[in-house]
Amino acid sequence: MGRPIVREGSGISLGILERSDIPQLYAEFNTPDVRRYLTGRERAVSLEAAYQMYDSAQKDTSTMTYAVAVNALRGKGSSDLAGTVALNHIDWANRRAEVAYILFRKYWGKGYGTEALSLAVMQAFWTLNLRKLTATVCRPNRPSVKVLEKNGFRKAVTFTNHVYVEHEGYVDEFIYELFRQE
Amino acid sequence: MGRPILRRGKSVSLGIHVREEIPEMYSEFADFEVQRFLGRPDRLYTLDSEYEWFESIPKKEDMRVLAILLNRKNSSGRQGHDHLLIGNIGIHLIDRVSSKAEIGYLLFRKYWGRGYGTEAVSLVVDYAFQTLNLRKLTARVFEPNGASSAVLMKNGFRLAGRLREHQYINSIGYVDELYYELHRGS
Ligand SMILES: CC(C)(COP(=O)(O)OP(=O)(O)OC[C@H]1O[C@@H](n2cnc3c(N)ncnc32)[C@H](O)[C@@H]1OP(=O)(O)O)[C@@H](O)C(=O)NCCC(=O)NCCS
Ligand SMILES: CC(C)(COP(=O)(O)OP(=O)(O)OC[C@H]1O[C@@H](n2cnc3c(N)ncnc32)[C@H](O)[C@@H]1OP(=O)(O)O)[C@@H](O)C(=O)NCCC(=O)NCCS
Repeated sequence: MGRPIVREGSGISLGILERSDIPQLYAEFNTPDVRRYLTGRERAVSLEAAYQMYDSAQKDTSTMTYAVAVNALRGKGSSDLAGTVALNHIDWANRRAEVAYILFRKYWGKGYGTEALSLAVMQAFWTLNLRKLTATVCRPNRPSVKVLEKNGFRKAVTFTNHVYVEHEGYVDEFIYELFRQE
Repeated sequence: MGRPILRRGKSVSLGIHVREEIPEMYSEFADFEVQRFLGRPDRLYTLDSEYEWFESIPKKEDMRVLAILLNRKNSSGRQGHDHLLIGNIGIHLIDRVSSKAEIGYLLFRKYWGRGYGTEAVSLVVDYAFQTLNLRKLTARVFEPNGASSAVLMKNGFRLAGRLREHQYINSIGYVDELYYELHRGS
């Protein structure tokens, strides 16, 4: 059975994240390259805990995580999972959320991050009817900064020497924001 | 029995909360003016949930909540506990790896505008840097809350930026959220 798609793009699409995806996410997200700038990177989380987080997120209306799936070539088999994009801290009273995205290492640099974020933005504004998105990123995470700016996000806050990153010391952190264009 | 005092200032001190003062806090903080610029005006707090909150404080490693107490004149040196309470102040989201945290505070309405907020923040800054050995503090303020921004700036906090039209405030509309930061030794 194919993965249900909630929003289709040209290179990748957003689909439903299944419980059976967890072992693959767990393996692919647990590499130093991918974790380098992620919040909670210092923590060693078990596969069991990853399942528990998935299960509790299913019941939580303040968070929504989508599968990023590479579109299958015409006539070829099913699409490949490439990562996730999530809307977190959904604040329904203020109609905003925080967006976060992670791709498996082998899918970086192909424009998938940029497209995944653009699809998540559309999902947030036009399906969830939110009015604003924010994203938190640290200065040395150049690909992530690029992906935000290519999607029209604007730098709103700069915290200086804010978060500790191995081999880099305390680095600046930014909060970006994007409003829905009515 | 006096409560433990963690920081003594000229007009106010910071101490440990005691169970008996929870109902007083609950009714003082229910004031619309006090709630106005806090994060979750849509939430309903019950007295029971306040007790649960009180019970949870000592179990949480990522936060510290302290009582703001008015220093009594002519006190016998011992600090009593019921009528001195004027508010509370918290250190939240304590991030051990990056050695930082966020502060938040509130005073009962009748004690505003006498410099107590400014002194309470200076005491909690000292507690965060010298007792918790943190490196950095941040704070968030909704723009119309001029008194709170003034309290931070008087304590050396610097504006790090603003999220525009970020929060809906009763009878004002969407307002900006201001982010402040303070580095130890700055
Ligand atoms: C952030 C992430 C999703 C980006 O995905 P991606 O598919 O590689 O991104 P894209 O290919 O769409 O775009 C990346 C852009 O960054 C640029 N870039 C990559 N490395 C760079 C570097 N070291 N310096 C400057 N720019 C860089 C690319 O050239 C590209 O820009 P361009 O299209 O103008 O050439 C991916 O790197 C990732 O999963 N990282 C780990 C998890 C993470 O940090 N997530 C974000 C947390 S805030
Ligand atoms: C914010 C709060 C703690 C301030 O405490 P306080 O004891 O009244 O503050 P202080 O008297 O120490 O200082 C207030 C300063 O703000 C100034 N001020 C007051 N209203 C102001 C306004 N609208 N614009 C600019 N400055 C203002 C005062 O002039 C004073 O500065 P000064 O001493 O230089 O004259 C208190 O108002 C409070 O509890 N508010 C409700 C809860 C809350 O909003 N908490 C903060 C959430 S971020």
